[in-house]
Amino acid sequence: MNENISHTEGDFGIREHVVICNWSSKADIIVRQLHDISVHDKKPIIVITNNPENIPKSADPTYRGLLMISGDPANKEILKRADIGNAKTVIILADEDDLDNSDSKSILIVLAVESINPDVHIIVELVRSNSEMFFQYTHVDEIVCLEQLAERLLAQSALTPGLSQVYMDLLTQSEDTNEIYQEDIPESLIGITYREAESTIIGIDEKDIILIGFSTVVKKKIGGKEIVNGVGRSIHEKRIVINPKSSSKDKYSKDYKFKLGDSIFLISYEKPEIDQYFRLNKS
Amino acid sequence: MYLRYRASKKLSSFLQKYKLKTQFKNVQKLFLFLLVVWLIGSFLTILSQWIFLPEAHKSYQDYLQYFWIVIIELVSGFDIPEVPMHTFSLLISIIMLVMGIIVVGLFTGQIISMFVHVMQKNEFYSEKPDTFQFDKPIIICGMNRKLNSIIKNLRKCHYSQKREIIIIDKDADQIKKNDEKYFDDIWYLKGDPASRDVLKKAIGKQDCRVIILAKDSKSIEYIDSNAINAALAIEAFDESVHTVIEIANNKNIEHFKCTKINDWICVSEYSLKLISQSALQPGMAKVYSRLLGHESKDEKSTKIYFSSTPLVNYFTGKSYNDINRIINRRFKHLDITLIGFAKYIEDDEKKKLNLKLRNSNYFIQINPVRKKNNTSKILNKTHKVFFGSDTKLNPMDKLIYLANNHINFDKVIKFINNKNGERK
Repeated sequence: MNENISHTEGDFGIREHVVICNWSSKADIIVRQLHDISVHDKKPIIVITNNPENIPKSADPTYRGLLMISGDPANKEILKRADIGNAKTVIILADEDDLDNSDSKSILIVLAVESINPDVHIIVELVRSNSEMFFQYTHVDEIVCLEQLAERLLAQSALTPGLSQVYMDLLTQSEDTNEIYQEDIPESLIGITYREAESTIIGIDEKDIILIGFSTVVKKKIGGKEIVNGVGRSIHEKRIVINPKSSSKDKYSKDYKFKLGDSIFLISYEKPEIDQYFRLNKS
Repeated sequence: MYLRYRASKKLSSFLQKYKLKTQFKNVQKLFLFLLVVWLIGSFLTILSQWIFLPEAHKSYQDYLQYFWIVIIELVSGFDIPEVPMHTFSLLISIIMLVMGIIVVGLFTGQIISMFVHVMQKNEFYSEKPDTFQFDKPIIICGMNRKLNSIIKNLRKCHYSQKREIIIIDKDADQIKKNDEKYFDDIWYLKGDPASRDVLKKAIGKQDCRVIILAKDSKSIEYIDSNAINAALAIEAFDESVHTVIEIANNKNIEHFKCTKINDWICVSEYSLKLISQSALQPGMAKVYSRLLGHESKDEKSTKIYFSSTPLVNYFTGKSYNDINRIINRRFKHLDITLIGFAKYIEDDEKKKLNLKLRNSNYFIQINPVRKKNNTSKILNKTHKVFFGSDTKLNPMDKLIYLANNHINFDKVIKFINNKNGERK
């Protein structure tokens, strides 16, 4: 077994790490992406799998800091050994050996993870789009559905030649390619409109960044009615606006004024650290 | 022109639906058979009457009535008893009556089968007319569980609303019709997508797009072989067709680099990269889902579009930076964010720069780097070619932008010029 992969039966005693549940033949991509040279803040990765022999014995530097636990990812004891309570992100991959039942297994893992750490950021890879509704009853943060992704990518690539390469560029984490970054709104942009911020960013010659949208926290509404929790407080959710409309009739148009707590989406080759740029520029 | 195309398509589709061409051929054969039987029957009756019963006829013209008698027997199944007949002639009459029943039965059966065929096929998609070539179809080769959603996604885009969708598969005639509004103008072609004859029927006059689907299979080893065969057959048949192939096993991607297939999508690779991005930047899955066409009640999705060629005169010769500023200042009413461009590169230059582009002359540059030196082509430390934001765009180049819809820049510029003219 590779010397980079530590075998342990006990807890690792690490914090803010990434846990990958299930290992597939392509999961290597995730390790390479998360530990790419362009990522400044690399997190340790713990893989929980029933088939540890499938993890490649790679001498690649991206495999440094990869730990492994052999066992069922739906088992709470196994999850505790992976320090789920202190983890930053949990990635639940589809079980390649049993694709038909993979989504049901993922739900079990989600429930087990949530019972230990309800605040951890959970990302689930789904196989069938009709399984998505079952995850409504869980607190999964993000769902990536293989079927939906395939349908949309194939349809759009057929209509817009070259589009798949644009997505590949944006999704690949490397120094040569662009990624979409989410940054907190810099202090100097608070109170100004999206349109003004866009002009300001176009004028920045020192950074290769493109502003493509923003997100703001709004009160959660269903059918126009505000949703409140048990003690009568409003429940909030994040509203993501990509390429806002120019018409001022829309509340979240280009005339939207940024407020504290908002964040912006930028296309950039590296982490834009726009707040730092504006602070330096101001001083 | 479009009306003529539609009318002609409707007519061909009607002929195909009722199998009128085949039916006509069958009816033709029946008539020929009827004619032969009639002539033989009539001559035999005349011969029998002339030999055995000449006294019943006053002149030679009397014998001609047997043509009439035999035809009535053949088509109506009735005997005309007015004329005295010899036993042999009666025997011929009986044969004619039986033949008549058979011919009429076959003829009626032919018409009934036509209607039964149409009624049975009503719940399935229509067969693509053999005699009519579609203008700009989108062809989907193979079937898997994603088929209906792909059609839906295609139809949501205004590009494809006037395009026919043809499904090619060995079991394509078994696909049941979906009544939703997205499923109009969908046709099937039964056969192997790798067959030249099938492709000949399917491929349209111009700008044809092909999506090749991977099979739903548990074995990953040879899952892509059929799709690869189909893709190679299509490229060999017509290189200008834009082919997108769904790959289930990312190990097969290597094979495509030496082919002329335009686009290959290994969904699991995209999915894992998207998962990685979401792990690095929480919330990214939602952003990409929005870009890929997820729509909610409150908002329409924003997608990535490429401008059409030739690039409008107004932008030709201007740098990406200049165009970005123009869009930001002058096109304020447009819901658009420019994110890059696709640079047209001649074959010679492609070789010089050692560029491996996917069967295309377009180099896609997202977020062109700002002017850091005076060249428009910037080689970075990994020796990859980059185009800077000061790159001047030519008529064959395309702009890449985020928008809710495809934008016709020609119309937009005319509109702005008219508005400015009115003000003056």
